[in-house]
Amino acid sequence: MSPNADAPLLSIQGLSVYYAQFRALHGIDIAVAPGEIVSIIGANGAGKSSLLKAIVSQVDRIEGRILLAGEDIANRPTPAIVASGIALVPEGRRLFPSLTVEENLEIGQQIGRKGNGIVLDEVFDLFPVLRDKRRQPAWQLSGGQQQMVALGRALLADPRLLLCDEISLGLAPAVVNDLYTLLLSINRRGIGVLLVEQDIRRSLAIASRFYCLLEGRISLAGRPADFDRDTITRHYFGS
Amino acid sequence: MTEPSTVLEIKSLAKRFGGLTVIDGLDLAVGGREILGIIGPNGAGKTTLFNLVAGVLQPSAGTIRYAGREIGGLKAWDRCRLGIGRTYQIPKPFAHMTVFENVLAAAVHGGGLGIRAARGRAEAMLDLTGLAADHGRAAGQLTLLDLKRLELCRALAVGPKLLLLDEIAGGLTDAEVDTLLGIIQRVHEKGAAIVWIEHVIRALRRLCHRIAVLHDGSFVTIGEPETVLADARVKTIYLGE
Repeated sequence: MSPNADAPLLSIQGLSVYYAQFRALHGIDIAVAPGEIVSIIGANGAGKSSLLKAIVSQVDRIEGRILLAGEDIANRPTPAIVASGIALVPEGRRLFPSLTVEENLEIGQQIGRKGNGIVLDEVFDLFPVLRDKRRQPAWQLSGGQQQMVALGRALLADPRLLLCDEISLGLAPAVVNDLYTLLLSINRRGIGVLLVEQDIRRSLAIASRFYCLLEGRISLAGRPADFDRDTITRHYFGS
Repeated sequence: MTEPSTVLEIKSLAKRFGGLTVIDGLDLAVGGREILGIIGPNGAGKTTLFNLVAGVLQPSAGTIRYAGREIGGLKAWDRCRLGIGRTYQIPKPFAHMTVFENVLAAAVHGGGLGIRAARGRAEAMLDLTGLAADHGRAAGQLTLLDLKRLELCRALAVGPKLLLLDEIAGGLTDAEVDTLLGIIQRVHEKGAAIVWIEHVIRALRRLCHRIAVLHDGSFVTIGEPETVLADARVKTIYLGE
C-alpha cells in the first residue's frame, strides 16, 4: 500500500452518520489538504461533532468513504486510526482524572504515530502552568487547565491531521489568542487541522477554507474571503 | 421578614489544598438583585469559589453569609434548599431520563418540594427556559444549547434566590448566546441575584451590573463592566493584547 502523494490528506466522500434510526449527516463530501486549516461551522445540532467523531470511528454507524492520504480508514478501530495519524481534541476534555498531568499527556505519545512530532517540553512551553502541575492528578486542575491537557495530549500523538472540537472552550481570552497562534505554527509544520469552533469570526479568520453545515448537509463551502457576512449567516441559519 | 439588601457576604475566605492556596483572603458582597460577573485566568480559583459558596468544599478560613445567615458549616443540599442554585461547566444530566424528569428531580431533591408542587415548578421552569417542547425527550439526545438550557432549568427548579452560573455561555454561537441572555434576564426579573463566571465577555457586558476579576485567589478589581474591562491590569492578566 503506497499512499498517493497527490491525494488530499483527508477526503470524505458521501459520508452519512447514523445514531440508531436518526441520521445526523446526509452524504457529505469534505477535503483537507496537507497543511491546510479547514473550519466547520454550523449551529448546534448541525452535525459538526458527529463529523469529527465519525472520522475516528466513534459513532454507531456510517456510510461512505473516509480516506487518509488515499487510504480508506472508515470503520477501522479507533486505536488504528489514531496510530495512522489522526488525533481528536474531544468536546468535554475527557481526561483520566486520577492520572497525573504528565501521565495523561504521555498517553497521547503512546497511542499516537511514532514520528518526529511535538515533544513534551514543547507542550509545557506552550502551557507553562502544566509544567508546574505535571505531577498533580488531572482532577485537581481547573476546567481550563484540563482543556490545555486535552489539547497537549492530541498534539503529542503526532497527528498528520488534528481534529479540534471547541478547543477554546473554558479558556481565558489571552490563552485563546496563544492557542490560535499555536494552531498556525502547528499548521506550518504541515499538520492539517479540521476545526469546529462556535466563534465563527475567529474560526473563519484562521481557515483557508470552510464548510457550513445545516441540519446534516453542507449549505455553503469555500474560502472565507469569497463570501460576505450576510451570505454566511443565511446559510448558517438556513433562512 | 424583609428582603436583605445583601444576599451573599464573603469575608477573608481562604481555601488551601495541601500546600496549594487557591482562594486567598477573598472578600465579596453581592446585592439581592445584582448580576455580578466573574472573570479571571484559568486556575484563578473561580470554580473553587463557587464550590465554597455551594458547599461542595469547606473553606480553610473565613466566613460565608447568605441572606444574613452564616452557612459555612452547612452541607451542599441544605444550602440548595435555602435557595442557592448552581450550574456546572459540563452539563451532566441523567441521560436516560427525560428532560422533564431531570428538572422534576431537581425540584424534589434540590428544592425540597412535594411531588405536586415540584411538577408545577418543573413545568414553569421548562417554559421559562424554552424547553417545554422537549419535555419528553431523553436528556442524552439534546444539543449543546438545549443541554445548557436544561442545566439552567435544573438550577432554577430549586427556586434560587442566588443563582451561580459557571460558563453557561461557553460553546454557544452568538445567536444562541442572545437566546440565553434573554432567559437569564427573565430569571433575574423574577427576583434572583446572579453570580456568573464566564469567558464570553460579550455576554457579561450585556447583563452584569458589576464585573469582578479574580487572580491568584483574590479579586484584583471589581466595578462597572466598562471600567473593569478597560483596566490595564485586566488586559495584562486576562484579556491579552
